[in-house]
Amino acid sequence: MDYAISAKNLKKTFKLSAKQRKLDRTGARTKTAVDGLSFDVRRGEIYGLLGPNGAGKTTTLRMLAALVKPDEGDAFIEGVSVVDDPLKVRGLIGFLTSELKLEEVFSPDYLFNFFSELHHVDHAVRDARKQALFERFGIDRFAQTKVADLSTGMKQKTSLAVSVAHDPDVIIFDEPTNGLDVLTAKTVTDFLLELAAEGKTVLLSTHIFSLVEKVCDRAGIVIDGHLVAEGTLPELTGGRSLEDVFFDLYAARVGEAS
Amino acid sequence: MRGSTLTIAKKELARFFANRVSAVVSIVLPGLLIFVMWTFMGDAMSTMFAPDETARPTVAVVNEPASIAGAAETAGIDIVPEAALPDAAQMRERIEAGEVRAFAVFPTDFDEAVAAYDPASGMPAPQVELYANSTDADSSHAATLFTALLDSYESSLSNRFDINAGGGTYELAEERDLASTIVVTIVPFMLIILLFTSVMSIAAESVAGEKERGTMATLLATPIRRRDIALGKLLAITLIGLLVAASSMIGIFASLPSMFGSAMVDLNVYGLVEYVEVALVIVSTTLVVVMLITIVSTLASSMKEASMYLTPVMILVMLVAVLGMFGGTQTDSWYYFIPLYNSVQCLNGILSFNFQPLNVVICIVTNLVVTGVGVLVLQRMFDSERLMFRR
Repeated sequence: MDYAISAKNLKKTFKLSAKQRKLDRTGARTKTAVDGLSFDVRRGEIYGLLGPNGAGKTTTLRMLAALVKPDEGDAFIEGVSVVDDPLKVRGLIGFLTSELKLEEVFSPDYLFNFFSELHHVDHAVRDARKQALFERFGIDRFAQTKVADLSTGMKQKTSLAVSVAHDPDVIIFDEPTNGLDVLTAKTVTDFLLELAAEGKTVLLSTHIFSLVEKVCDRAGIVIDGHLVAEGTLPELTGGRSLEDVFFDLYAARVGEAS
Repeated sequence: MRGSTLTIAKKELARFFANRVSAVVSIVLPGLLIFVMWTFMGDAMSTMFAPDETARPTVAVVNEPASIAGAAETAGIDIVPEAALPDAAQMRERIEAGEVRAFAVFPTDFDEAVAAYDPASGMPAPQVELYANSTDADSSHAATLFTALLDSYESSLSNRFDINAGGGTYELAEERDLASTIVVTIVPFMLIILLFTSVMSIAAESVAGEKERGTMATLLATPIRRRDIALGKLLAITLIGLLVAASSMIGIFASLPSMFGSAMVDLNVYGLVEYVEVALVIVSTTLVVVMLITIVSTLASSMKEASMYLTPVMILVMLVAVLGMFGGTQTDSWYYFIPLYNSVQCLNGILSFNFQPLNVVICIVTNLVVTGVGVLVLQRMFDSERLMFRR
């Protein structure tokens, strides 16, 4: 089967500093954040990686977005390897996280142009997309306002618009609704559904059960760097609540959640 | 990917100039600061060491001879008679009070003794004693005037010949000998310090600041090579660094005349060749400084950390610059392979007309090579996940 995203046995280990070792009360010099993770995302679906903080979701997404290299394994975006051709992978995807910020001194207009240029988007195409996206998010009135002067919601909308400036077919969102108020969060989830409706592939990570229930076609549950369950929502839950299923899986993997 | 590098560089410059005020301040301030500071210092120094020329100095005289009284009147000196010479402490006190500027003691019957004196006799000539406080500008001025008065009186008694009495210029020292000694010791040192401190905040903002604000990750997620990001940033910081160098240079040269009195330092003594050489050395030095600071601030994950790392580097750079400032110009070529030290030495050499073509070339080439190696290191650093994603 032809997948938009395909992760094969991804593994990533970090060195721990002395301070971190003390904090974690561990003698180990390394921490394996992602330990042999494999999953596939079909073209046009919304796939959610669900897991607690520190489960390795962000590291997984960073490897898929070719931001960091996996220690072992490989991943393919539209058939392109993140190990062999990270530049091409970054050109194929739109990547957004709550950590990716925009420089505050610039206007949405400048930033959209700047990132379009880095993605080598044609000027005519860029202007058409900019107009459409800015209208879609209501940024057009603030196109020349410095990001610093925008409301938090408007900043997030600008980030969304900028991250898809190059019209990517695959969109990777790390914790897309983290720290957003309900209205802005709804803008984001609506946009995700719109993208999927256009035939784009969306991969997101979250620790919010309701987000998975609301938008995801399929989901994988990540605990401690391992994928412990995967499937469509009915397959995963079997009629129970997603929350209950998650806690059972967590207890089986790590012991009772404390 | 030339294009991406330029896009990044343009963005960096746009951010720097987005805040017009801070941009103008960081570029113009170094030069302006130097100019104002040195001009002020020059003024302060000249007033401190200049006597009050409007007031007629008063000299207290013991045994005032009739011959001097008339001459003093025309020389612009007021004479007050004094019965006997006071002791040194009293004289200091009265000079301090400004009542009297100097004390002179003539032998009794000075005029008769001078008239009777025969230089051929081998006897000691009649002696005049003049007491003044040389640390007091007015006192030493009065003493100078009084000595001149006595000298001219002495010449008038037996004028057989004059020395340098014509209007010609008898000084043989070239003007540039004077100019160079002063310029040399200060200019290169000041320049490197100003360059370092100004570039420090800009580079820290551009690299460590961008990591701290989380905007670096946004850049890294785009399909451009990380070495191009590094190059683009370096390019922008270098351009700003060169502007700062130019501004400091203008400030230094513009303020030198008032710092040392325009008679002493005439900047026309430096020709086009010297200025071009100075410019080349400064450009290559700016590259080294910018590269060094950018590498150090890439190691940091926040602005605070960057300034913490950069402080010892700055002290080291100052030390090297100070070492280059003293001890004259080295002729041994090996010294010119040491970055920064070689720049100070080269500027010393060029500005003091002790031009060593080979060493200037070694200096410039060394700086370029060091910069090239630094760029490669910086690009490797931008490829490092640990440095780029560390929080």
